[in-house]
Amino acid sequence: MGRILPTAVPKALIVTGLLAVCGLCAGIREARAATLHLSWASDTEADIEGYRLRYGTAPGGVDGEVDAGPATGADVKGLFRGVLYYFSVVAYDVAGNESAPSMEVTARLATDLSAPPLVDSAMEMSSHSIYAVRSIAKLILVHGLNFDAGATVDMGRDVTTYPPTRTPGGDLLVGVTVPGDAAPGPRSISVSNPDLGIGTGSDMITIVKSPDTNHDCSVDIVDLNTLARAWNERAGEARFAPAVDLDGDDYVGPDDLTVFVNYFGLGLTGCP
Amino acid sequence: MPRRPFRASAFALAAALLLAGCGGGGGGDDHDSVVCTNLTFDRAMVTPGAGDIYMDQASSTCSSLDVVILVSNLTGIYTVGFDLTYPSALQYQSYSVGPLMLKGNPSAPPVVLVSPTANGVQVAVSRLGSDPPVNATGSEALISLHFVRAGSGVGVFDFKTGAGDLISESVFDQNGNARPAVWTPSHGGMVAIP
Repeated sequence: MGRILPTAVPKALIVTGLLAVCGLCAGIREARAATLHLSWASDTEADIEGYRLRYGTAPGGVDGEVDAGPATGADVKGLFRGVLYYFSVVAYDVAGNESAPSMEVTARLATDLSAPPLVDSAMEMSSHSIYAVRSIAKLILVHGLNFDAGATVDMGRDVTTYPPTRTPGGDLLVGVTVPGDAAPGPRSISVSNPDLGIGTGSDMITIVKSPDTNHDCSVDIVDLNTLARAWNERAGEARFAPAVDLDGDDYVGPDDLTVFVNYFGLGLTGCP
Repeated sequence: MPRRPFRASAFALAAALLLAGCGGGGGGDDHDSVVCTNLTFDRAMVTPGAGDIYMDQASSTCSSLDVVILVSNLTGIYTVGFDLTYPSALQYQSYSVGPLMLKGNPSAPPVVLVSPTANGVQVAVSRLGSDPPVNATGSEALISLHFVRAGSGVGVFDFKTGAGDLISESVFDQNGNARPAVWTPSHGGMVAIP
């Protein structure tokens, strides 16, 4: 029987900031070069040998690669300021099999040598969780560093974000509109500073279907009964119920229950 | 005999709890003794009938109270939900699932959600997937809730019903149909926290 590819794709890829500014280098070209550090969550499979960090200047493009070995972080040197880079990570096992790439993140170092934004975590404010319910989520707190006044937030093409407010602690509170047909699943959050510096964190917020399956504006026992009856069913199986496949992965299981627990007993703000 | 050391330890622990919980004692003999009064729960239900879901005291100490939620003669129990109100002198601490929802060796353990709120606790218990619903024959324990003293007083301990209540007391079967459970009146009790 052939080897099974690593299936647990690395997650939570974060550009954690500028490590070195080549301020002592001579010449414009060298002065513009810089180093970024990226980190990611470790894979859960036992036979993982290491990780490869790949980057380029176009989505999905690969202009360079860093073999991080078993470490869950790596430096990328020789980057140019003012250039938008795309990063992703793959895991590989002892046989050399590679996982699918992680969610891609972007970073751009501002030309004025200031540190780029660092997106560390995010929280949906009504549930105080990482889950943003379609049509319901209205406010997301983005936690990180180096968010300048006038920074903007992006969560992907189908999520509308409004100009954020900087909190006294330097985080960003951003209003969002998550349409009812937004694709469920994890999302990256990118923060762009006015000086063109960009930082992205992957898997920061997960868009989910509403756990209020009967649309009575509360997440209650009726919804739990619906979820429980569809438990451990996959799409196409007899008891599968798409409404309670909250994370949209075609399976009703613990991940969906985790989403549900965050909203159980809550009235949904903004519910019609 | 393996249980003897455990009993000795349990006694020592209970004595320690008594001392810690009461902080005082009477005199009058050659030994120091600790006198305190257990918390009490006087159930309102006299004779449970078919479908009644009601409360009773499971156990108590000077510093804690265990209240059990019982189901009387009801079939088709798959998902149960309710919320409780009780005096602020009690603080919810933990739960244990009664044997009712564990009947028939379910393939998946039932899911239990217990969420403390500002003035009570919300509870939901459900079988999962293809595990069949259960039947209560006579009175059977659904769940026990463990509370600890957070003050003193006397008050009503009951299911919380009424407007603005986000968890309406209900029992559902495996087809999503409501079962004829009875939650009021006189299904709770009076609790005294000395």
